[in-house]
Order: sequence, then structure tokens, then C-alpha cells
Amino acid sequence: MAARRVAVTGLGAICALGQGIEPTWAALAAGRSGIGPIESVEGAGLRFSNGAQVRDFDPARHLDSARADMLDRFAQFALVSAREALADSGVTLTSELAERTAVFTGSCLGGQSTQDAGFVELYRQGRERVHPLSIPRIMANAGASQIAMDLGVRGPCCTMSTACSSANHAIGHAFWLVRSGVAELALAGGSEAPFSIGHLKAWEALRVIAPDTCRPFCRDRLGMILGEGGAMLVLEPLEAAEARGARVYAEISGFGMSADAHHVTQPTVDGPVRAMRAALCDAGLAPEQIGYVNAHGTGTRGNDTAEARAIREVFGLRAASPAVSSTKSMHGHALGAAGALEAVATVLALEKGVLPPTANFTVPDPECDVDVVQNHARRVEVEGALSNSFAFGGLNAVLAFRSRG
Amino acid sequence: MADPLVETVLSAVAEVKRLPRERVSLDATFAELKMDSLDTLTLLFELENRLRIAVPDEAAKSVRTVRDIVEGIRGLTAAAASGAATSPP
Repeated sequence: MAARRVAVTGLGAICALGQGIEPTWAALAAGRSGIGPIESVEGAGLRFSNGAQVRDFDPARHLDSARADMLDRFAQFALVSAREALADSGVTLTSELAERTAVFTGSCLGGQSTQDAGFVELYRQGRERVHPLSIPRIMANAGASQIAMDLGVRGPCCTMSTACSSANHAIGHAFWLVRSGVAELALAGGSEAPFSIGHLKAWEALRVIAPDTCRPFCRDRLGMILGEGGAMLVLEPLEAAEARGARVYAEISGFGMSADAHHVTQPTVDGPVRAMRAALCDAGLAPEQIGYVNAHGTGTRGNDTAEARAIREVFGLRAASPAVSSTKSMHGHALGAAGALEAVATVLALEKGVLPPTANFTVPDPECDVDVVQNHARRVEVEGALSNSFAFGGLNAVLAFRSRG
Repeated sequence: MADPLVETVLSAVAEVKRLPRERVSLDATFAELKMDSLDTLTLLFELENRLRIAVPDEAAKSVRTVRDIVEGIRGLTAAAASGAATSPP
């Protein structure tokens, strides 16, 4: 079967910037950061105190109590954003279509806050048993499974767990299924809820979390800021979308992967270069057609320098390079949800002709010599865009999108 | 007379890098010892536990030699002692 063009026709998001696409985009376009003091970690003696949390999230607003009880916070984010994305697409899931619909989610940690709470009960409070729903809440595929059950989706359904690249791997594979004709529709994205003390302590030990905020590509950057949330995209053949008169935000046109095979935490330049080139090749796009890169841009010394060099290697002269921003400066690093939130930002940037900035920007780092969109969104129509995700363990995943023009 | 802090640090480096203790000297650089960033994190973790100290992230970023570690810890413990002496009860 000939490869088909694939459209993004539905979006859903919940993150520190807002509960829903509308408030999330409003904050992204305004360069408004959702980073603030982490709630409920008093007394943990953490060396950092800021995060990008979903404030005032009330599961009862979205889910009936029986279902909410079954789900860890990370799976609640997955389900809430999937429902929003499907409703946004306007697709009617007939029984026939539901059998040909895929659900691919990314999650780095699964229901780790449920696990952490269970360990506190066992080891600290001396209880002898944990809750019987612990396993169904903790499993990393809980988001994908709950979406399938809730929406009645019965096609290919799975979860990818590749640390910070999880959502890009999930979206990329779902895109390939739709393009190849294996699936007629896909819900793809990721979700994460990393704010438990046991997990935050593990990040503290890595010494990569900033004590202040996230300022990717700045000379005075001090590291990353963790975030949480979920985001989902509805993907379908462009032809089917046009036939039903759907709104097409953008086309998803390419996916590229690579492994550094180098070091578990130190990034390389070569791995990201090969993943970006693979995505361009898969999309049939030339580097000069790309006007925007939503960077992995964690704000750590190692990532930002290596990523800027990789971007320059792919795109050449600085003057010819695309605009670059890291929206992690606003929604934080949401790990397994990061690529999904950033795909939403990239798709909307293409659709609206507005490139969201790197917020909290101070002074450029000469070691990161790329055209960073600083603090204020840039209004410009671009033809193509890349969204980068580079994981610990050296696993790189890059998505390419194309404007409807 | 061997300095106990120096001995503790040299032993910890030897354990983290799985080297014979006599191969680790005070003037060895992390590059010579082939210590990467994760080895350095592991070393600081071991020393924080053994010496019951807390090394701030900023201080951890600047260490490049075994001597940097020893001097850094001396500075931390001295600061903690003077802080304890001057802080109100």
C-alpha cells in the first residue's frame, strides 16, 4: 500500500500551563511559565523547591469516582487529554473505525506515586499490605489501557517507555501505523506524574535540577525543572480528514530515531544529528524547509550545548538555521509526557504562525549558537518544524511536522 | 600521620573506580582516574553518607581532582562548624 499523508486533527493537553489546549496555548504564546514552588514536599529536605505542577487538578471534574480510583495521577492525565483530543477532532468512533484505531502512549515512570505511597505504608507506617489496585495503577500501560477501555478503541494499543523520549517514540510509531495503513486513526501522546518525594530524591541525587528556574540555552542556566501532565494527538489519513471536513492543524510527516551507544547520561552530538536527519528524510523535507525546532532544551549544561551543536550540524550556517525554542522553560520537563506537550506546541506553532519562546531567558550562551526565540513569541509562518526528544540512555526521537500553508 | 579525611576520600575513590587503594593519590585528576560525571556523583553520594555531610550542587560542579574533594569537604565542615558556633540556640 502506498504511504499516505497523515493529518493531526485533534489535540488535548493538561499541564502546568492549564487544563486544556486553550489555556495551554495561551500561556505558550504569551511566554508565561508554569514553574513554581512544588506543593506537598515540605520536610523532605530537597535541594530544589520548584516544579511545573498541574495546580488544582480535580479528577472528579473529569472522571467518575470509580474510574478515578482505578487510575494513578499519570493515567488520569492520559485519559483526560485523550478525551479532549478525540472530542476536538470531531471523529465519530464507529465500531468499525474503533477496531482500526490505535492508542500509543509514552510514560517514563508509570504510576510511581502510587508505588511510593505504598512503600511509605509498608516501610514507614509498618502496615502489612498495600492496596489491591496498586498493580493496575502502577503499570506503565495504564494510560493506554484506560484510554482504550474508556473510548472503546480496539486496535493496536501499547506504551513506549524510553525515558524523556517516550512520547516521541509513541507518536512516531503511531504515525507510521496510520501512514502505512495498519491503522485508520490513532491517539498518540504521553503522560507523567513525577512529583513524589521518593522520585524527587532520585533527581536530587543526579544534581541536574535547577534551584531557580529552567532557562534553556542561557549562559546562567542551572539545570532542568520537572513538570507533569499529559498530551494527546489524533492522527488520521489526510484524505479521510479532508473527506469529513475536519480541521487539520498540521501534517505529521516524519519520524527519526537513533541511539548514541555512548553513555547513560552524557549526550552526544552525533546521535541527535542522525535522528534529526532521519526525521527529515522520512518526511521528504530538506533542511531549508524547516523554520522551527522545538528543542529538547532541558536547561542542563550538557544537553543544551550538544543539542545546539547538533542543530548547527544539520542546518549549517547560523543564518540559515531555523528558529529554536524550548517550551520546557514553561511546562517543565514532563519526562514521558514531554514530547507530547512539545508536539502540541509545535503543531499549534505551525497552525497559528506563532513560535512559542524560551521563557526565563537572560543571556545567550555562546556555546549554544542557535537562533533562540527569547521570551516573546515570534510571529512567522514556517513550512516545516521538528520536535526533538533525547533520552537518558542515549535514545533519540525526532518528529517532523508540516504546515497546511 | 595520615589525615583521616584524606584516607576516607582516597578509599572511597578507589572503591568507586574499583582500583587498588595505592593507585589513587591526592593529586590525581578525575580525568586520570577516568572518572565520568556519574562516577563523581557516586563518589559524592558515598562521602555524604560516610561523613554525614551535604554537598551543595554548585560545589559539586567544580571538583576536578581528588584534592578538590578533600578541600571542598574541609571548607564545608569548617563553614558548618562556624555556623553552629554563631547561630542562636
